[in-house]
Amino acid sequence: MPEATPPHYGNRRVYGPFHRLFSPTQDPKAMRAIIDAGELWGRPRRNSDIPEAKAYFGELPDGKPGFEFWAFTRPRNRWGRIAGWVRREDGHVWGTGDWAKIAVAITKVRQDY
Amino acid sequence: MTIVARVPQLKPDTVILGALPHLGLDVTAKALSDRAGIRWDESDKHQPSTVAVVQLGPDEPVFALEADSNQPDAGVEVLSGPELTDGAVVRLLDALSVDDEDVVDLVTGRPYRERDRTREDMVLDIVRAQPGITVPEVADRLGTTPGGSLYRVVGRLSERGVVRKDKRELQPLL
Repeated sequence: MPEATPPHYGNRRVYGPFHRLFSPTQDPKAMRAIIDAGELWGRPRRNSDIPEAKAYFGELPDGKPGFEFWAFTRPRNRWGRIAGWVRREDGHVWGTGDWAKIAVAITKVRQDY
Repeated sequence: MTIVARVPQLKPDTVILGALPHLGLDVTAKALSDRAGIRWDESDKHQPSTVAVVQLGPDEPVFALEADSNQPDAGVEVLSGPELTDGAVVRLLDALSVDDEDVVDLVTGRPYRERDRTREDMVLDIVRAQPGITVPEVADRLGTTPGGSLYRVVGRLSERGVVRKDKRELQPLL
């Protein structure tokens, strides 16, 4: 009987946790799209023209609807209430038009989708 | 009754090219209203936020102040374009009556005060170039007002032994 080969696991660095709260733009349709694609999308803030995927730092607060995730790339800022990812040339934050996108691993969903 | 100097504001939908959050202020939106007369606008189609757009003068950069409607007790974030200078930040903080110790560099997560060495260097350069200059004159050269934060900078330069305050005049020691 051949000797068993130990499994080989890949690994990736993750950053988080982060969360988004349920809102008019973070509705069930958007939630479904995020789950299906494994991507977090974002547009510019109100006073900016820079596409930016955004989320709150930390775990999804108890009792609040929304979702929690880990990102496969670090946000541009280390501090603040909102983590932001803007397009980078290394390809980890990408997008077209006024969208910025990152790959995420969703770990908790507490809203309809 | 406290009378606050109004900080000039632009329309809340003003778009600042290349703007991203750079500074975090450990003060609430309400505190900025009380201190500097900031008027906030609530509506936003993309995300719940409370914003105010300020510009201290025609040659000054435009800043967007952004608070969180969901967290009224949280701090305020400052968005600006890429050409942000320390002098412009100092003038903004003075206008908003915000102390350096209540400011964090959002990108690095470090207290903005640690960048104050830059401001100390600016003052030292001015004193070296013009020995005998007064604090109000230094403020004028920096384009700011001779408030408490500038006197603290001068105090730190004195502690470092590089400037001596001789009555009103500042003298370089190194």
